[in-house]
Amino acid sequence: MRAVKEKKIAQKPNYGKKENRAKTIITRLFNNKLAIAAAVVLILVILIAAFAPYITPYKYDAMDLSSKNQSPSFQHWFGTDDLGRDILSRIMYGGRYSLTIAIIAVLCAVFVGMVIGSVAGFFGGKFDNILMRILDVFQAIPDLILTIAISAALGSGFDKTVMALAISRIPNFARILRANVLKVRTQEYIEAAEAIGCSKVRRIVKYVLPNSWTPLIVAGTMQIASVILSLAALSFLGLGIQQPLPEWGSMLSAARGYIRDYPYQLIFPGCAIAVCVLCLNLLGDGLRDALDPRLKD
Amino acid sequence: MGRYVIKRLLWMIPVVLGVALLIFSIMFIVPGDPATIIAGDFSTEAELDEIRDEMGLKDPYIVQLGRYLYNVFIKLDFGNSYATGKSVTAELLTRLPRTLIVGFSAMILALGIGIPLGVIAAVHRNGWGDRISMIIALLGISLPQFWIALMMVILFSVKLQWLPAQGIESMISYLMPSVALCFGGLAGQARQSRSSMLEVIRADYVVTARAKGLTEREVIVKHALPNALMPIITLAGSQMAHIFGGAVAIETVFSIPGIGSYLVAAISKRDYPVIEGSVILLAIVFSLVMLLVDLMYGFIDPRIKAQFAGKRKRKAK
Amino acid sequence: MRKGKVQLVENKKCIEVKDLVTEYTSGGLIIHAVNGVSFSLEKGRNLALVGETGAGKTTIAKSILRILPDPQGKITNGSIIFEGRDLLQLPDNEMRKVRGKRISMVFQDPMTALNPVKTVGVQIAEVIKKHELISKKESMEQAKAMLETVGIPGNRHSEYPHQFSGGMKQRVVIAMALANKPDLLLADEPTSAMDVTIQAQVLEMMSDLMKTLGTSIILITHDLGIVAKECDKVAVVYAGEIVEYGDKVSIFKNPSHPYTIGLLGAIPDLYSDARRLTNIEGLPPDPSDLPQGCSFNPRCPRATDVCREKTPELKEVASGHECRCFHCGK
Repeated sequence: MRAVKEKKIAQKPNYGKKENRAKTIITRLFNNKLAIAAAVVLILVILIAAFAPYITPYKYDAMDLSSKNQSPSFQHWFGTDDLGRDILSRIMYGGRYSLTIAIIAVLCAVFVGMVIGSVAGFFGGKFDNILMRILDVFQAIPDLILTIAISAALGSGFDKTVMALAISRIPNFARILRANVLKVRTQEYIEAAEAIGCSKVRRIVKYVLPNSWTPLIVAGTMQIASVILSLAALSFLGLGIQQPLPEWGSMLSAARGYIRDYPYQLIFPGCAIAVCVLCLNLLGDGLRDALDPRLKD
Repeated sequence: MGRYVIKRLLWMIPVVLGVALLIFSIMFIVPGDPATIIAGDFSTEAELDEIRDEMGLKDPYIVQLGRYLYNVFIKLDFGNSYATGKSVTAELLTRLPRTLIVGFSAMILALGIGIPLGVIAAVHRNGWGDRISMIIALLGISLPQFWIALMMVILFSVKLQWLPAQGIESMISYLMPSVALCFGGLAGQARQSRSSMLEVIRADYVVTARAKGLTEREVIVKHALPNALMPIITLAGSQMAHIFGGAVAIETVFSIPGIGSYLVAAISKRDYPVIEGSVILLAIVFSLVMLLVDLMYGFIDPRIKAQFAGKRKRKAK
Repeated sequence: MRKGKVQLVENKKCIEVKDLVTEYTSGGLIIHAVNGVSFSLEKGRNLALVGETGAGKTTIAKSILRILPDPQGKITNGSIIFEGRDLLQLPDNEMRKVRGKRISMVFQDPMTALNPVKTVGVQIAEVIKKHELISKKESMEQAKAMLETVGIPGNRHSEYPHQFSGGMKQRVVIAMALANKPDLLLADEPTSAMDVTIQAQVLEMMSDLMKTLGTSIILITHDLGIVAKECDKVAVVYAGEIVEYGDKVSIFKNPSHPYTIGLLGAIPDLYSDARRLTNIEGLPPDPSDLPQGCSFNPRCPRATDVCREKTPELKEVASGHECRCFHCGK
């Protein structure tokens, strides 16, 4: 009952080469069919959003008041809204706002959070204490409310919304980085680096950060999903991106008035949001399982 | 234990102060003239100036900040609404109970259903119950809360006509908002509970418990669960943020006159005292909820109990 | 306290394991942890399971108690005769009566073996109350007495594990394991996590208790010094098989299997002049990918063609001393 294989020489010790690790991670990820399916759908969504101007049946702001509030039909697969605009086209365009804003906001938040977190974790002491108290204040306000307040202060529009969303996510990444820095910092190879005269900054950049990227990747993916939801809520409430731009949340806000008469107008933008967020969550789950399989079995 | 409670309560104070400082500063740097907002577009410059003097709007930042903090925390006065001129404090107090009802109901549902669901899913790992609940949980965290609310309104108010879509005429009106609000938190809680439980189930002391001859049920309930509850409760905090943040959108959808809708209405009107007051009050409520969560944790973790219980017991080697 | 059914068959054997095969499945791979292990142990005697990490020793112990992780671990063959019954055929509720009462286990890492949120007294009382029909109060009294027996003041029963040092935690675990006066104790590297002085204390305490209670012990260890001091029989485990088995003295005097010779050769000797320690080339095989033929052949200085093709059986090289090698004792 033993597995049979020819082996002529003794097994040479495998000192865990770096390429092997990356390869195992990728293999594990590709074994997760659900995550791969999610990634494929996401790529599809991104492509649709990117090429929207060329592939939508109508322009997103093309109004046709004679055919307003029509149910889904052959000419308008998702129907039309109250200004006669084709909902399908608007949804395809809408992806551009949700995705780009979310990705940029999260990238900014990761970067700033990384700096804050690693500095706090590495230098420790009073400095760390103060920074953490400041983060506590930010996190004492529930996510969405903080975003609303900052957004209200800055105003609506693309860049301001990105900024508001980014700021609200910084504390999360700062804490993740800090926790990781604290964990890695006490390990012996960091002490060894110090012993050979490595400067603090160099130690952070060369040793601590490269070992901290795994939790960031997973958290980053999940946060992109979360930001898409927040953006939709913001636009729904009158901030964020507003009409006539076809952002999914603001489309829901506009359609809300017709909830009794034309409920279909509420279904499609919501589904679009759900699909993006669902795929990102599945991908995030898959990445987490691939990077740290200990958690799965 | 008393010391632990007091310690946590005291810690809340600088945080709430910080929140007030933060939100005041954010609103302060926004361009826009409160005087114009109050007096309207057709006032003369002289009238505007008079208002500015009256409200102390020409004073430096520090003075205005100090005055605001003093008013809020010592006199417990959030000022008057720019739009209506009425007391913000009074309005907040009227609206608070409604937000609390929706928020706390959602919270209880999320924890009361989410945690057992996650724990049971973990124990029956890979069974069909596990798979189904995790699929539903995944959907729960992926659908926008306000959209779930809208769908519920379509189904239960428009099509079936069972429940009211808006307002707070009766207690039944609170049903849909609470359920819609609890969804995201419940789903997230179930997922987190499941993974915490899975981690605990693999611990050495669980194997030890089996080696002692305990039934599987005893092992799970007496050994795994108490340990799993600790990380579950710790992580519950982030779900609560989700719920209290989402209350704002839910109140808007269901037209519930709570703090959330007060806040949203004030934004377009640039009614800063209302915005500031609402945010501060919501932050206080949220901090108290987190305090409760921390206290629950303190009750469960014997390491904390032992630490604060008495000085009689010492660590012996 | 009843000790169980009266045995009719010859009672000299405490436990007899025959052809035990245990596998783990992980991510589609099958890990052959135990590949046909057989041994027996007389009452009141001690057996040492010796081998490197990953050889399968812990899996053997867990298989005896049937506490393998489910569903990844499975016993696919063999029988374990204990008190006249085959443990592998027992229904779950009968097996539960054996665990903690007739057969107990002490685990390797005391830091994680105890439940952090229960007091040590409760954890000991639990195993007592599970197997006896006595009141909670009575079981706690016995638990306190048990603590005293292992050298911990009885009034510390209401403290939590984190309030004890590593050595004391292990004493608590031992108290838990011996509370019901089991016939057999499985001790998985009970002193590996301690420094030498504490190790000596704990081992002495354990062996005193064993003698008082008449408990047999299967001691899993990689420390040959402990084997020499505490055990009567030795089984050397490699890649899930027993490669050498017999009386301690016989094995130490005449190690026959190349692996055993290698292990003994790696011990520094106080009494002879300094010389290079011999070590064994290479690493233990991957249990999901075992070599063809004798599993030791890639590292064996005596390996010949037959070793690479066929698997050796256990051969007797002296009275009560067996070796699994084509080139035993040469």
